[in-house]
Amino acid sequence: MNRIHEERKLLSAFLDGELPGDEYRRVQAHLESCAACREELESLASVKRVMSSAPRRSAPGDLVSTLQRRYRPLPERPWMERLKERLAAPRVWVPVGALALAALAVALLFGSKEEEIPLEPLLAAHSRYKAESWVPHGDLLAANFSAEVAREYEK
Amino acid sequence: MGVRASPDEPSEHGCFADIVVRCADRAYNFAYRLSGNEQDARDLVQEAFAKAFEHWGRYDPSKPFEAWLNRILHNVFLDQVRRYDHGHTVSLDAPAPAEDTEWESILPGKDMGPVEALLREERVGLLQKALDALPVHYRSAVALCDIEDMSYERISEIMGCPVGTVRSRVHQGRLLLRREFERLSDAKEVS
Repeated sequence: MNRIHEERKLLSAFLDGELPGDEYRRVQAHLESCAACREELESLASVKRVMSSAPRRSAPGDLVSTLQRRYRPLPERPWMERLKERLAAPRVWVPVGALALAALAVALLFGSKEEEIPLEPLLAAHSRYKAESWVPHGDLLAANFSAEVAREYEK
Repeated sequence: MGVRASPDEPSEHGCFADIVVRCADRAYNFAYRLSGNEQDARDLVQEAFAKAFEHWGRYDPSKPFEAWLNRILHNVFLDQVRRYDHGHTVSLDAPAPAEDTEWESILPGKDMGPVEALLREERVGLLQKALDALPVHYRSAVALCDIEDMSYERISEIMGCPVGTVRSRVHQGRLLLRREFERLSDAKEVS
């Protein structure tokens, strides 16, 4: 393989500015002394010029609008509409309701008992009420009840 | 690879519909140069965008979207060439000299002046005819380099081959194109 062909293979890359520095300088030096390769370079440059001058084809308008419609994001719906849809969806509320019922049942079964209210102060209050009240004792159920409680307490 | 929003959501690249508008012309031009006709170019562009949308998660946002789209488009085209024997398409398996062939010796150059003048006059039809006559890999390399004005590195990403292979394909593609130009020019003179 002779040296001329070695450089010739690199002429397109030389033309495109795609050779690294050392190779670029080697080809450049060769071109200064080789008329045939200079001619070949000019010929390749003509091909590149012709291709570069090719008129560009724009995408047809209907193709662009079809693609735009296909990939346009769906418009956001009003919040009322989205809320109604959520409420109407049974798959959300059925498990939520079942979970709430289960939680209630657990609370009833295992929940702590309420503390007992001390009876003495309550009875004392009733006794005071009975003593101080201007309401006739026999007329009110509460008063009768208080009297009964007081009697029980005094025993 | 970074984290991306879905193609429907706004991102630094905009929503997918905006990307379509921004990239459609270049994608179509490349598709047209590969396929050589409007209908196939339309199909190629539509399928390339559909695949880009479907595989959005694989897109590396640190790289230009157009390069990724063109790579998809090129692969879609290669798949079509493999599947069908289109009348207007030269097969991937079309005779092509080995990478180390002395092309310069079998495709001697001559003064391109008259040929270039003719191509400038009738460049739309003749240029595409010459391009269509090239084996697919050479056609892609030359179209991306000379028409789309891309660097060898970008072309290597799109074609999925090393930069050295791109260098070789661009060079050999130009030599083949020159031969086609001359052949078309001679045919024109005869007619």
